[in-house]
Order: sequence, then C-alpha cells, then structure tokens
Amino acid sequence: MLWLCLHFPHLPAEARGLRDPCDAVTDCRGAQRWLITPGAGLAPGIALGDALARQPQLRAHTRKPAAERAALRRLAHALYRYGSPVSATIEELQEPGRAPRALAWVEIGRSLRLFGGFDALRDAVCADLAELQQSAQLGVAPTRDGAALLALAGQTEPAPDLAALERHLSKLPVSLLPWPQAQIDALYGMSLRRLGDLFALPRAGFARRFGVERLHALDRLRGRVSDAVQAIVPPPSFQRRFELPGETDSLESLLFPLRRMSFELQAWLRARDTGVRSIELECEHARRRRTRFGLRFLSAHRDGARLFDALRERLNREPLQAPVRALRLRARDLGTVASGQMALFDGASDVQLQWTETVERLLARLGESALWTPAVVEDHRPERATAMTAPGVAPLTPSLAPPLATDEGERPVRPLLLLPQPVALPHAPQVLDAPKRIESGWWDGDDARRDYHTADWQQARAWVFRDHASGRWYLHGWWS
Amino acid sequence: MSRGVALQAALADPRLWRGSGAAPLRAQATGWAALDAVLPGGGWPRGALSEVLHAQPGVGELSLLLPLLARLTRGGQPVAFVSPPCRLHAPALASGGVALPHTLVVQTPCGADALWSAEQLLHAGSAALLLWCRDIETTAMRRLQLAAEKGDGLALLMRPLAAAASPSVAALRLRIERIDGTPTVEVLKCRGARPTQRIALTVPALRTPTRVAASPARTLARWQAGTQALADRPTA
Repeated sequence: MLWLCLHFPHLPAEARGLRDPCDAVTDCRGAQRWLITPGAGLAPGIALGDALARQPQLRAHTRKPAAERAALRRLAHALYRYGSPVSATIEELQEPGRAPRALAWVEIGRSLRLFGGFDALRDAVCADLAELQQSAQLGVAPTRDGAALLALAGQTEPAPDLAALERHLSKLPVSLLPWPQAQIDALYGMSLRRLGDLFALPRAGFARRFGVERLHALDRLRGRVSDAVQAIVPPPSFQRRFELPGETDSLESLLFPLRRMSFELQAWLRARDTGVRSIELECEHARRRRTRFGLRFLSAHRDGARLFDALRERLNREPLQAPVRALRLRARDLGTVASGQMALFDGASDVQLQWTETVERLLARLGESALWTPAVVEDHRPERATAMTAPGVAPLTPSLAPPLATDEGERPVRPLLLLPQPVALPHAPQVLDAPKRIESGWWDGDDARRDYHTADWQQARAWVFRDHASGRWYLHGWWS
Repeated sequence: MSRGVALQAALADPRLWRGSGAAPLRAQATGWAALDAVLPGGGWPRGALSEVLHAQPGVGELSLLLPLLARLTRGGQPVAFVSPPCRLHAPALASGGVALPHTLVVQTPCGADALWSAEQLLHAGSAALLLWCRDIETTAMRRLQLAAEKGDGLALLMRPLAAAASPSVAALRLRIERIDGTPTVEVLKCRGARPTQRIALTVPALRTPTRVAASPARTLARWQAGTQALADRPTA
C-alpha cells in the first residue's frame, strides 16, 4: 500500500470562505483563544491577545467545525478519482497553542501505472487542487500516519517502502506527533528530540514509561501493525451550500464561490463517473427569500469550466434582486457522458464540442426562448408549420437523407420570411397571381379560411391573404 | 530562397491589391453562376465579412443566400441566423434544400447581444452567419471580421440600403434591389478585383414566385436555361 496524504493547513479559514490575509480563525478553550490559521503575517499558535497587540488590523473569527468537516469531506470526494480507499479526518489537539490537523488520504499504490507514475499523478493532484483554489501539503508513504507526518513536516520526497519511511521519519522532530503537549515536553526533557531516538529505545521500557498506546502508535507509524481505515465514498447526489462571509449584491464577489462550487461538482462527477445535464443554483436572501436559476446543458458533461461559464452568463443576464447571503448548487439531471471518440484524421469532435459550448453560453445569457432550431410541422396553416425546437446539437456529419422536396409538385411553395402575426392591410393590394386557398383547423378552434396571393407591396414581394370570415386583407410574409 | 520565389510568395498574398490581378482568394460559391463569374475567387470570400444591402425584407436577399446555405448545411456545417427581422419559415427553407437540424436561430433584438452572439458563433466555427443589423459601428464590424477570420466562416451582414454610402471594412458588398419585379444584384465592392466593376445580375428564379427552387443544382440548371432563352430572344 502507498498512501498519499494531503494536509490542509488553511482549511478552517477556507471552510468559512475567508480569503483576506488579515482574517484568521481562532480556537478557544475556556477563556483562552489562539490562532489556528496564519493571519496578518502571524503564525498559528499565538494567543489572540498577543496577536492583536502585534497586528491590530487582524480580524479574528471563531471556528465552524461542521463547515470544516463538510469541506474536508468534499476534498476527500475530489481525491476519489485517484484511488481507493479514501479517508479523511480532522485531528483535534485541543491544547492551547496547537492547531487542528485536517488530513485526507488516498491509496495510490494501485493507481500509479494508470496515471503514468508518481510524478504525473502528483501533478494531476496539484492541478486539481489549483482548480479548487485549495492550499495543501503533500506526503507519500506506505503507512497513513507516516504519510501524514511527512506531509506535516513538508517533506515532498515520497517514501516508497518501509525502510525509506523509517529513514525519513528518524530525522523528524517528536513535536510533530499528535500527542499531548506534556508528553512531548517530557520527551524533550529526556533529550529524545527526533523520532529516530524513540525508535532506538527498548520496546518494553518505552511501553512501561509512556504506555502501550504510544508504542502501538509508533508501530503503526512504521507499518509494523495494520490500521483500520474508514473509507469515504461520494454520496449518490450532489448538493453544495456556500455561505458567504457577508451579504453581497455584486456579481464579482460571487464568482469565487461559483467557480469553487463548479469545480467541486466536477470532482464529484469524476468520482462518480457520471455527467450532469442540468443544474440549479439557488441564491438565499434575507428573510428566507430565495431566487432559483435553472440551467440546462445540451449534453451530459463533467467540465468545471463549462459549468462555471454557464453559471456566470446566467447571473450576468438578470441582475440580482437582493443582496445574497448564501449560494446553493444542486445537480439535477445526471446522465452518462458520451465518451469522446478520438477522430483519426481531423478535429471534428473538437469543433463539435466548441459549438455545443458556445450554444450553451448563448442559452445561458439570452434565455432558452431566444435560441431555436426550425423544424417542419405538417400543418397547412403557415403560422403553425414551423416548430421552434430546442437548439439541437446535430452531429456535424453530412446528412445522408435525400433532399426533402424531391417532388416539387407535392410540396406547397412558401415564402422564406413570415410575420409573427398577420398584419391587416389598409386596402386591397394589387395581386399578381391566382389565389391559393388554405382551409384548415375547423376541428381545433383555430379555423382558417384564407385565399393567399402574391402581391407587390412597398417595392417588395409580399405574401398576402384575404380572410373569408372578415373579408379583410392581411400581410403574412415576404418572398425574400 | 531566391528572389523570384519570394516575389511569387508576395504576389500570392491575398492582402496584396493588384488592380486587375487575380490574387487567389478562398471563396464559397454563391450557387448563382453569373454572380460567381464576376466575384474574385468565385463566390463569397471565406474567413471574411460580406455585406448584403437591401431596402427591406422581401427583395430576394434570402434567396440569394439559399444555395449557399443549402450546400453548407447539407455538408453538415452549422449555419446561424442572428436577429432575423421576421420569423423564418421552416417549410420554405426545407424546400430550398436547407438541412434544418444544422441551423440555429438567435432571436434577439439587434444590439449588443446580437453582436456578441454573432461573434461567439463565428468563433465557434459557424460556417455561415447571417446577422441582420440596422446600425453597426466600424469597430463592431472589425470584430466580426476578426471572428470570421478566426473561425474561417462567412460573416454575412444584412444591412439597409442607406449604409451603402458609409465606408465599410467588408471584403464584399452586394446590393440587392427589385427592379421591375426582378431581384437585381450589384457588386459595390469586392476585395481582390477592380472595385469600379459593377455588374447587374438578375435572379430569375424569383421573378415568378410560383416555385421556390427545390435544390440549388436544379435552380442553377433552370436559371442557365432561362438566361439562354433570354439571350436568344431579341427583345429581351
């Protein structure tokens, strides 16, 4: 087994949506409060009073453990595409001056070949974290605890086997261990400063002095006993709520959470090996009012940038009615992603994808009613003969069907442009040809009895008709 | 490279204007043989902006484009109509040979949204894009021209006749008018040929609106037969 461990030092701040360097999150115990994330240039662990004395502009926020757990779970889901099992935990060290450790592990030993070696896999993980705008430290070792210590120590060089792990660990200070501060102080008092010093001690004596639990912890660290893993599996549905640090009505400040949620959805879709066809964004305002935006995609996909583009265009289209407090993103309609068949000779599939994405962007910005693809409906009434179908993603391949009107005699001749509504003419026009009668619709309440002519109207060739019911003349289209 | 080769390469550049010289232009045939014969490159210039000036809908401006649209869509290439003045009538397009699934209509008022949509669609590789626009600034036209160059498509701008007086960056400007009931095309400007050359064309398939052509090839054949008949007739 080979575990990749990620340590998220800024998770308490990121879970609260704080991005300003002057913001810091604090933990408290009784009356004591101390920083657990860096802020305004101060390292974590400093008491809040000291920190404020040194940097008065510092803004302190309390922890939100539930939000941290949810954020860590989402990150674990994002890791799921690199291997299995995945596990994650937040180690609480509730002594004043110590920060909690948010850790996530994924077993990569069996995925290395798939991703093309450790370096390629690490690059892919780093690219994913960059997309999620998430900072992390990374460690690789055959045991989970060992990988965690390497990540905490900032040792990026992987330890491929137990011997290498023991070599790496021996140099690390004992203060990295998640043990009570009193015990670590005692170790320092005995001049046991490095983990190597602990490994060199006789086992029986160590167990007597520090307890069997500590001996077991060291054994787990070195892979001498196995440890049980509680695996995390992505849930079957996606729903993500993002609480904003404050009310806002500017689109610019919504872009960060939108981007983040889009890429989280992408990670979830990748982990579940599925695609999304429609999503719903809900904006929460004051007094429990909500605004919902639905977005439909032409094909199922799992592209975070495409999701983000569509969401941004959708919000650009309509101004926000009220300041927003929180955002909620749901995946509504899931479907399998058409696996991209690579074209052998040309980039036809690229062109197709680009076209689809552009049409989606237009749909998001202009609304679903603004874009349509005409289709023929078999109805004699001209105003009903055109169907406005959803903009198709017609495959960009030549159609093999024969031309529609092979027999000219059967298909009625019609003008290219039709007015949305017939316009009444002030007087009878000069008609140029014999009437063509259209009589239809007596069964569906939209009775039409009309004689159509071609006429010259304002130097253009018009399609006019005389309505039998009223006897009036109407302009209905242009022979364009 | 020898001097002769360099000169040949320079002469082959379509940007070089050489009076009456025939610099190679990549073009899409219009489907009207007489018009193709006059246009440099033999049709609508590819990767460029073209203008069709017309007084109002109904003078034959769409029929002029119909053979092109039919050929492109039947080849599986997407074609877009942005802010058309009226509703497009699907049966007429279909009987003109247009493969409807490859068409897209963007029904938005002529303005910033229409221009943005047109640019996006050209970027995405729209083979032909028809944009109806009343007032358009030179910068917007330049943007369309660049988008057409990038996507290697045809940007076709449908403008009112009044725009004929203003200068334009378009590679090709055609004016279509109905004279004595016959749509007549006049070339106002074309890149790569003498701009003074003006040839009036008739599009006889439209003279009698009893039939809309079934396929471009058939229309063309009938049209050629028609011109032959016209030429033979002494009083025509």
